[in-house]
Amino acid sequence: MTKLKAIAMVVFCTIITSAGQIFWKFGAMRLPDLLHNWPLWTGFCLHVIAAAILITSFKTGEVSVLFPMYATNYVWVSIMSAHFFHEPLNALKWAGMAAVLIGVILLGRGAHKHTEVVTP
Amino acid sequence: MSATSWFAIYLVSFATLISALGPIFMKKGAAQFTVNPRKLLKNPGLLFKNYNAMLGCAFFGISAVFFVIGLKYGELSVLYPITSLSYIWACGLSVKYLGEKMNKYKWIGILCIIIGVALIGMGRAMH
Repeated sequence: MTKLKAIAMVVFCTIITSAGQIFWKFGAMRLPDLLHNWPLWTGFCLHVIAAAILITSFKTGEVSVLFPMYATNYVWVSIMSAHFFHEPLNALKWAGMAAVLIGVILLGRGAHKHTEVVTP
Repeated sequence: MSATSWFAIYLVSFATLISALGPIFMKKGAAQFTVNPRKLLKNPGLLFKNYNAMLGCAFFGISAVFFVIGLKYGELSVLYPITSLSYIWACGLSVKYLGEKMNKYKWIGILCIIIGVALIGMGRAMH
């Protein structure tokens, strides 16, 4: 697994996590219904899948590079909230999303090529 | 600021400490994986036996609960950038316990992310 693949996995993981959070927000509207609350269960499954991908990405990636990239979650949540919950995107949000993406690119630049897999 | 806002700030700040432990244990857990991901799909029980990974998920999950509660009761323009503190804690822990090294790209990258998250928080607070 190359370092780029680990970064791509984390970004993909944040997309799934943000989708899970959107499902949970829909599921929260259906509370206290639990058993038939399909958005709640869908969100839960998405979070489990995201966690598995995150753990796998840590196999050949550094925590100090990959974990801050989790902030892209805020980017996806902002975009999805604009679509599903009509929270309009404003200039501050756009600037914030751009800053996060610049940060992600810089983190990728700062990633070391040989990542030591820590033996527990 | 009201008492509930301070409660939210303390809760979210505490949650950042817990959430930083998550990826540390996840990385330790990932190191135990000698199987490739396809075998994991056929036998998902392997993931649950990985105690480091499960502990990491637990820390992450608990911190997420605290975040959700805290973000309800406070100003997002203040709380959002506080959540990005967890990235700084995680970097410190990774240097100390995982043998990772920081460099100027990583630091400036994290700074950009903190600024970006603060701006998004301010943008959300404008509603």
